[in-house]
Amino acid sequence: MSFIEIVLGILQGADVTAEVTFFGLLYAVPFAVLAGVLQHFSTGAARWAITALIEFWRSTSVIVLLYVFYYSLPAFGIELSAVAVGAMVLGLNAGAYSSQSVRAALQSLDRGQCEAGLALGLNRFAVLRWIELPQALRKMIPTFVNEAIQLIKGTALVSLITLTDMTFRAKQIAQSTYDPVAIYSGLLLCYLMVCYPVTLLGRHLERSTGKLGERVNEL
Amino acid sequence: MEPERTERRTLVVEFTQKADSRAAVLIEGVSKWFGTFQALDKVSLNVAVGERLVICGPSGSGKSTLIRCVNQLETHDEGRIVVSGAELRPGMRGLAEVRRDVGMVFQQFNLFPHLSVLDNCTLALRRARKIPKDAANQIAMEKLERVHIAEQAKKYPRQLSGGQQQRVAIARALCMKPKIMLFDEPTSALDPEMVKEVLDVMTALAKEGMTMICVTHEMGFAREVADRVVFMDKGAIIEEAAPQKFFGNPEHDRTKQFLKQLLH
Ligand SMILES: Nc1ncnc2c1ncn2[C@@H]1O[C@H](COP(=O)(O)OP(=O)(O)OP(=O)(O)O)[C@@H](O)[C@H]1O
Ligand SMILES: [Mg+2]
Repeated sequence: MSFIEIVLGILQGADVTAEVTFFGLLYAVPFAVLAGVLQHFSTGAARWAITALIEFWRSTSVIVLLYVFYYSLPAFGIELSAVAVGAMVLGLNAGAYSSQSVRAALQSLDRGQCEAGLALGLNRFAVLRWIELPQALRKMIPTFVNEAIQLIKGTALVSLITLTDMTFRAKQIAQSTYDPVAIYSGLLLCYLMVCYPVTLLGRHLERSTGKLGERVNEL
Repeated sequence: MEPERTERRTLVVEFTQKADSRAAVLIEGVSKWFGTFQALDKVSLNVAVGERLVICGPSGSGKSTLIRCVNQLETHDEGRIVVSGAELRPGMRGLAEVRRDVGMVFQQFNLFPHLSVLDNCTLALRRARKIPKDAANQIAMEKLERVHIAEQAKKYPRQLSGGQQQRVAIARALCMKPKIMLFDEPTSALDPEMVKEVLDVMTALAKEGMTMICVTHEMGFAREVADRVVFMDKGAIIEEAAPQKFFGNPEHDRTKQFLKQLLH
């Protein structure tokens, strides 16, 4: 097998990698924003509960969680597809990390911003929606891009729960062809090809946050 | 449901307004603590409709705390505050509605950096008063013209000078058609050459009959505009008088000392 053939073979798993990443982001972004906002605002027991939830997803091993949700839950009558489990576990793990930067971004805003909004007669939710979140979002973009890249790379783990992603394809090819150097450097190349454009996209987003901010304000 | 609630509120407002007939703001025995530190000590102060009040006093005397209680950016621990007929209580319903009648201008401007000058002015009109975009823009342009900065409407706050930013902040507050305007040292963060343009706008506003409470150490402004000057020290009102008497012949030693320091 030539190097090109190996790379093409690995890329047959790109759709699964993309699928898990996409659905993972659908878990990660809302969870990050919601958990970050709730942690910022809540006090007492509510804050304790949301912190515990964040820490659960942040401080447990992703591999163990994949096994638990994929192999143990069926014993309790809950059967989830491998893609669903992969997206949820990886997504909530990334989301839990990002929630901390959401909270930090909200906390770092000048108190005068919120006060000016309240003084104008906006309620607390409107201040969050129209004043604090648009500004915090801008600060969060680099972190979100980093988390997205971590998520793509993290999807390599779903090969452990039978998904035919790029890493699984590489292992398959390795079983029929003995050429570990070509196969695994090909795999590296494939992840680089997928991740680097995301990095570039992130840089572009950061530069154009002014425009993005404006668009958010018109929603 | 909606009309009924509004009606009830109007009744309440009418009732209390009769009780405190000409008062725009009524402050009675207000105390406030930050932890164990007492920032306000039984302050009582009435501001009549159309009155221009200047508050001065040394740093840490509680001036900001007092006017921030008027729109409940700080809650008071004791006493009574009534603003255009509504008594303010911690966690009260309808606080946002009361705040729409009370404009506030901050020392640090506090413009929204992610919004253009125009959007700064229309945000609360659209999201609190629910006025459609075009109508809100029209109101905002009117107010921006009034502070002589309409030509900068499309710019962002960071592109403006301090004096311009503060005038935008005044326009933003005026957009809500407030009955009362609060100013917390509006010129203290400005370079000297920009102080006048802001004071001119405030003077014009005063001449139009706006009820104003201004924390400021601009004594020229106080002399020209104020109906009454209040001097605060250590969380209490020490002296209040018409500007002529206040500057010409103050009664209290601490006032004299403070004025002497101001001149140096
Ligand atoms: N959030 C707070 N927490 C604790 N103490 C506070 C807080 N806000 C104000 N204080 C204290 O209350 C006192 C009065 O503060 P305030 O800001 O009202 O003074 P001020 O007269 O406006 O002074 P300045 O001229 O410096 O603005 C000060 O001693 C200040 O340190
Ligand atoms: Mg102050």
